[in-house]
Amino acid sequence: MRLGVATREAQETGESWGRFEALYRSSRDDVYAYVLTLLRDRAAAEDVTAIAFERAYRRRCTFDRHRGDERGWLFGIARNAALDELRRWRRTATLVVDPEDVSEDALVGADDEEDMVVRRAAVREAIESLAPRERELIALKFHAGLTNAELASVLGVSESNAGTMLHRAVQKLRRAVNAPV
Amino acid sequence: MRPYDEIPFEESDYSDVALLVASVREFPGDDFARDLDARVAQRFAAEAAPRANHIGRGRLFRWTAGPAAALVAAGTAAVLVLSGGGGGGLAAGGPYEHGRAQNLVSASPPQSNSRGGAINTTAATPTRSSSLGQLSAGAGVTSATGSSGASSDAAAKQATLNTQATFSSSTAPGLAPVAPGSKQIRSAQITLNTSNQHVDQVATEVFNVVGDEHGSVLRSHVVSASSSSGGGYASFSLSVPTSNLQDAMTQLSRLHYAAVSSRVDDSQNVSGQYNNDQRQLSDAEALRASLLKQLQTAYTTQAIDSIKAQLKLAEQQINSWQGTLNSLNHRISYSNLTVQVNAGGLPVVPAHHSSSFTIGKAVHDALRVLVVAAGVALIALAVALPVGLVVALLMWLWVWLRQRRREHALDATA
Repeated sequence: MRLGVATREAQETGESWGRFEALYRSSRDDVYAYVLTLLRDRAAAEDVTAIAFERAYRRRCTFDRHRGDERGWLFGIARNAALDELRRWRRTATLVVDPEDVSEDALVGADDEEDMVVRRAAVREAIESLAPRERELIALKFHAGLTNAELASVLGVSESNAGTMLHRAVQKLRRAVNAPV
Repeated sequence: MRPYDEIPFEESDYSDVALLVASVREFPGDDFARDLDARVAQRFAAEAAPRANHIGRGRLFRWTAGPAAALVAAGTAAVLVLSGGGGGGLAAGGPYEHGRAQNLVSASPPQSNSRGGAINTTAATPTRSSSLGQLSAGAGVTSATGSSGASSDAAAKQATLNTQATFSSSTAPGLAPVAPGSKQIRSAQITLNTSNQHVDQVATEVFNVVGDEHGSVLRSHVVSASSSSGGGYASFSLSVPTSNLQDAMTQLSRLHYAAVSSRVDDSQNVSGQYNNDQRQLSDAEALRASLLKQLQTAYTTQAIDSIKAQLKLAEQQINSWQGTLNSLNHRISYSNLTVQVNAGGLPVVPAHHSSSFTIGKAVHDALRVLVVAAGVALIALAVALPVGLVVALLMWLWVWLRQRRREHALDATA
């Protein structure tokens, strides 16, 4: 009897771990990209990404499939971890971390075509010009690939509200990208 | 499928933006990815705790687990205390616990209020009332008409002790011992529980007890009720010789169809008042004797009239003090005994005064245990519910504040 229970628990643990590992493999880069969009600091983004996965691992038993899919749950954790990091920055120092210029590294060797370089720089500038919440929406939508329902779940708003906010952010981004320099 | 795979999203209108954002997407460095992969492979084994504390997990635990543990401990203690009280109440009842219940004195108020409603609603049920006369038991014992009596009233009142016996022991008798020579007025109340169909039988038993103990019924009120309608009730105001009070209480505690619910014994020490009244009477008699002597030696009409007037006053005082003393003596010699019989509660199994096990006793005990357990659970719920609501409110407030600070932190990055 006890052996049977132990075996079942081991099976459940194995399944849980398997699901988490699959989630990690499919989401690691997306979480990093999203967190980097929020923090704009590579080192902090790496830390927070690791923390988010660790939290998700520790709390994997609390995941409720009825309240959304695993990616939405994971990005909710990542969002909270990133915002906690932002709060910690504000508490520990008034010195605001300057947005890291991530474009240089990305540009070097990424594409030799000058037009593409200019285009990317324009896109980065346009994204930077967005409000933090709009940047977050863009990241959640296009880095994480969340549906509007998942967006709403992560941000704690209604689905229609999330869709409206996203639409505005996208429109604003389009205008910023197409704006004459 | 991710945006950088150039697969359109559910909103096809956003495909251009998806491509734009994908073009500037950042990827984690190889070192970080490798390191994180290794940590995940090890399931965050080694460095889990320190890293979690770094982001406030430890603080979260301190702020939530600490108060939660304290609340759980407080709730458990409250339930245990309440359970202890409930257990005590359980020990007081039981039809075959007569030997113990007769000595237990409950401080709970009589249940006449709740039963009063039942009487009013069962007006159609057969009711018989009997008033067998009133005794002047309530006469004031400290009233004084003479001028000399007033001076010692305060001392007499001070000497009067009023005690109410509260017995918690299961073996001690309900009545306190009387010191030799002391004068005490005693009274007792006993509340009995019975079933609706046995109210008449219990009333008959009470009348029998009063007859056996040479007492008298001052007032009685019996409301019979069928078992379905409920609301049976009886109350008796009895006068019993004080010397027989103990026996009467014992017999009432052992009625065949009733169980003791509560019992109160009162005793009032009136030795000082009794002595004072006697002294006043003696003084008045001495005054009358003195006046009679003066009357024999009086010669003038005026002196004789004056002494006769004083004699009249003295005799009035003597009569008054004698009445007071008689009344006090009666109250000392006869005790008031109030018996209240409530029906409609738990079914009462006829007592056989034996310790043998019967199914009826077991069922009754089981019912009592269930009732007490339900009462304890209800009280615990009454305590736990508001506490739980407050805790839930505080938790919600804390989560809301934390989320609000997080959002504020995001807005502040603008």
